[in-house]
Amino acid sequence: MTDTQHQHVELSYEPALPIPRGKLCLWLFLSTEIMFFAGLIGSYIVLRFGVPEGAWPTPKQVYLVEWIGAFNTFVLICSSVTVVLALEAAKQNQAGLAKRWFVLTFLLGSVFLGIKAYEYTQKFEHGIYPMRPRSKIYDKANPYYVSAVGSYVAGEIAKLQVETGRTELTGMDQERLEHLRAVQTGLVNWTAEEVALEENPYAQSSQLETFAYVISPLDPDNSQAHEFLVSQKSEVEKQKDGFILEQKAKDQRSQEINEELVELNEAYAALEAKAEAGEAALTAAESEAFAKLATQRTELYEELTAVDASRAKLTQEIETYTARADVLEATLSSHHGLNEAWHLGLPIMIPSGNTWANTYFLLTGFHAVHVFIGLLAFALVMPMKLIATHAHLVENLGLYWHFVDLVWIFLFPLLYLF
Amino acid sequence: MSSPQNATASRWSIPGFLGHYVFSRDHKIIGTQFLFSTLIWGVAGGLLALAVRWQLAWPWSDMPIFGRLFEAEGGQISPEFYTMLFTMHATIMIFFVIIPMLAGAFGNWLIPLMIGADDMAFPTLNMLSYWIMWPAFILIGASFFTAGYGPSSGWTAYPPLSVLDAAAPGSGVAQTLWILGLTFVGISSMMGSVNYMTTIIQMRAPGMTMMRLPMTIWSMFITAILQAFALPVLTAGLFMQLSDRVFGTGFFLPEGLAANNGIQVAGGGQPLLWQHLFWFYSHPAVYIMILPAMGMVSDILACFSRKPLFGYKPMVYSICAIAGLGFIVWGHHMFISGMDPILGVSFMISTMLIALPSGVKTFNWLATLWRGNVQFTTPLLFSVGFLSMFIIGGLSGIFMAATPVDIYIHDTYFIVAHFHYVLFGGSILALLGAIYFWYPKMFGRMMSERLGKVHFFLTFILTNMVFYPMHILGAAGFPRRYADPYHFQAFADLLPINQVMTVSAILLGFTQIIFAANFVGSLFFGKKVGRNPWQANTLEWAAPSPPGHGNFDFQPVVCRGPYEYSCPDADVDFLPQAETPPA
Amino acid sequence: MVSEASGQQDHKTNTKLFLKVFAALCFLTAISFVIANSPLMKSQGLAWAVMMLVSCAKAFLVISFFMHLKWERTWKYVLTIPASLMSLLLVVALIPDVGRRAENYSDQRWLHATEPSEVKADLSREDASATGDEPVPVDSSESDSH
Ligand SMILES: [Cu+2]
Repeated sequence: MTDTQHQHVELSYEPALPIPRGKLCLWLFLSTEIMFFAGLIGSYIVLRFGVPEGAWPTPKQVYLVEWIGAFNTFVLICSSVTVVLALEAAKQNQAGLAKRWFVLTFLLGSVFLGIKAYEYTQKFEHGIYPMRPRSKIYDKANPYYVSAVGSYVAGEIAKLQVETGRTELTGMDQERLEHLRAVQTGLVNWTAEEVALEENPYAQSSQLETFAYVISPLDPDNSQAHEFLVSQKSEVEKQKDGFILEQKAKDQRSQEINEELVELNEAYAALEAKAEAGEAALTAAESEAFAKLATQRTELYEELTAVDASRAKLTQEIETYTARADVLEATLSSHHGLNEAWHLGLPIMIPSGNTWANTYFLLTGFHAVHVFIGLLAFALVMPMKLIATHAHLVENLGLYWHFVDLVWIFLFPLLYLF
Repeated sequence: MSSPQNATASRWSIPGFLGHYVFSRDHKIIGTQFLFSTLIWGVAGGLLALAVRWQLAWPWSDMPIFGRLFEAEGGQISPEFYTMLFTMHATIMIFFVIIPMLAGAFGNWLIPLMIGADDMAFPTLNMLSYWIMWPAFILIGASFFTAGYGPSSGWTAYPPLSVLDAAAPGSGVAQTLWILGLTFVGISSMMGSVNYMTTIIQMRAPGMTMMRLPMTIWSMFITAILQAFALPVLTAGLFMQLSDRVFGTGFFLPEGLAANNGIQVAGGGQPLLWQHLFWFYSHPAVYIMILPAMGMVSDILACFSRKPLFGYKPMVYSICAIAGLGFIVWGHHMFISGMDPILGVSFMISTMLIALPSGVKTFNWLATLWRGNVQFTTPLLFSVGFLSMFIIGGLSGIFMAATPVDIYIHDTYFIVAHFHYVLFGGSILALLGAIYFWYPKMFGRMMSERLGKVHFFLTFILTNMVFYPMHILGAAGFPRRYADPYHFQAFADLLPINQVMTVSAILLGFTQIIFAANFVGSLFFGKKVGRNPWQANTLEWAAPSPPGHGNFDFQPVVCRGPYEYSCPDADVDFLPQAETPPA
Repeated sequence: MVSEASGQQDHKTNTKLFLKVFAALCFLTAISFVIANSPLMKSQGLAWAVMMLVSCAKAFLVISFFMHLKWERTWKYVLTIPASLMSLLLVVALIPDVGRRAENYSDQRWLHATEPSEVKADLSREDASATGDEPVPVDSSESDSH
């Protein structure tokens, strides 16, 4: 393919449309973008409206703040106006004015992204995000959820214990370990046992609901649930107190037995020594007393074992009830449940929470990527003098920017208000 | 967007060899780059096909070359390896051979030349659309060297096989590479298609009205529209699948999926969603793979029949109709997926409707040949080959469009027969014909006609020997995508047929060596030609062979349609669209 | 270069027009926001429909004024109408298989699938036999083989 003839002929064409090629190309590109977002938004619509009736999280449950979304809409609309005004100014050859509008557009776009980033951290803080191999969100409070929380807690404890082997735990880690243990006994094992003992499926399901509510309440302002937890807590504490009293009694009894045994053992030992040492056999009365002492002693030992066993059991019971009371206490002390109180990052239950998180991050993410690309393009054009001959650049950029605004116009009600 | 209004005013280029042949912005160089890249990938795809055939003829026997190449269990392959073979065969043939050869190589070469433009509307974008293929080449190539030797969820990448890492050896890194590779192919196609559309709309020579465009350009134009509208949906789906794999979302996985004991997925999605998004692109992709071939065949047939193309306007309208209908038929790939029956019926009806415009085209081609002064050149032979293969492939397509019939033949060799008749017998034969036809324009020399005819007859006969028996296998229920169907007693008797097919396939592979020799040899020893060796009418033949930078050394002014052959009033039997001024 | 060969006086009126459009856009956004927090949300379908209409109106304003389509020739229809129709078609075609998927859930899938959970107002209902008919996730192993 050698360039044999260099005599360039300036070819002339018959364009079908009275617009510059760049603008036509951009419009064609925008129609491919329409299809791209149709794929994304369409998937969202069918996934979202396909969940069983009424099983979509409300904005509150996923820490979505409507007015922030509305404000971001406002920001984007403002930026659309400023870029249009920049174009108007550029067409009028008012480069300085155009530049000012242009910079303002860039700033507004950055504000939009900043607010978006803030919104994302809100979700991340509460464990609402997709994750491999699976997210922390569970769709319903069922035994699978309980066991998921259980294995998460066990894993965390194991991690901390490995660390204990190496170094001294910091105060914070120590506290975390204690909290994790409290959750293990006072929440996971508690509910598992409760559910296992319960036969009524409806009662089971409400126990599981309570479990989920304690970790992260779907409706933090539910006063009835709050009252229920308060009453359960006082009941648990009452039982705990009962156990403590009982344990005190048992302790006392154990002490008494020990004291009695000391006396008995002395008397017994004296007689025994006599029996072994002496040629002079024990008198009849003495041997009778000896036998009696022996049985008494065996009885006391047996009782002591029983009392000690029940003391150990009581200790365990008290531990469980203390853990339960701690868990409830912490839950009641915070607005958003245990996860907020102790920052343990336990798996949470939000109906359709995964579908929500997947689609929310998909749509807003790809929209944000488009905003970011727009900002990059703005930054590239920024150093130019925005005179009339460069107006086509501003126009094309503006078209793209309006399209990004357009997508958000649909995303805002779909994601925030529906 | 970045290209200024006046295309010739500010042409930048990198000096020297690099600028001329590597990072060139000349549509002809870019077209040639596409052509060579796709031909090389075609060899790889063909070898993969032969490996598939080997397993089907001599199951579990040591596979020559491939067994060694991949050290797959000491020469003998595994079922998973077989899955990888057909996945990669399809991926390479569709995304790296047929589509880029039609749209990339011929689209680039022919669009500016046939409409009388000096280049594409956006030469830099055009260059990028080629170079953005390279990440795809590298990613897909790299996937051969990962665990499982490549992705193995089929070219359709249905979840959960494609989403769960543990589903198959190739569902790990290899699948991620595959998704990324296809994303780059998508970006390249998008860049190409907006460029082609802008060029065709805005850069036609004076007098070249839309209704004077050659069929090749019409088909390229419609193909570009198909790509622009359908591909973004696949891209969206690919991003969602990537996110399912990388970020652990669950767009395509249901909640509580229990596979391989203890796979943990959050779920919340629906596997059918992927199938819809995928086929929303991939059915139109079928037309992306056949429409340009149809356009080029129309031009070749008219030229060598020395007759006007029969029914130019119906041809244009039927291309538009095929493209339009092509967007509302994708569900015919999902008849047995458990899809909604009402949806199924509407997809069945719309699919059946496509037979109408396709029939119009077929009869118009036949009518073009009818009583023509037919010159049996190699390009014509290949075009007639295309025509006959397309009729067979098109008819078997109607079988599958009917839901009740499809339920029986779905996922059998019948479908394999169908799409190989359309894609190999159709697109590839047309592409070979197009190479023979436009080779003199591209390189200034003729390819050997004698070798070309030998190549055609061997290819044509062997193609039918490889693919025709597939209909019989399919009707017998022989399943596709099984490494060893003979494992089932019912199919054990079908082994000899498969052995005949495999031997034919190997011979078909060897036949292409004749083509390669002809292609390479003619670059150096082919007969030098003038501007218009075939005495054709379209504009590219008015430019020098090969055309220099800027294509035309005169201002072409179009005064008639592209098919004025054997005009009774003219003293020559062809009237070019634009007269070349005497030198 | 663009169809409006505007003079200086046009420039002023244009700016005014854009500010009017801006005001309309803000007003429409406010309407959506108010609807979302109004009793209309009780009948969700209606509220959604109104909000979508409001969005379409906003989109129309942006497209025709900011994107200048109002002043373009007929090619604008060739581009925008097919794209809008195609995207609608895609969504509509997804409805039967994905949008109504819950109607075809198997028992097995219901074990894990999400369910409406009007946060149990009464967590303590031990004698809940009076309420509802919801399936409870007790291990059912009837259809494990599937
Ligand atoms: Cu199809």
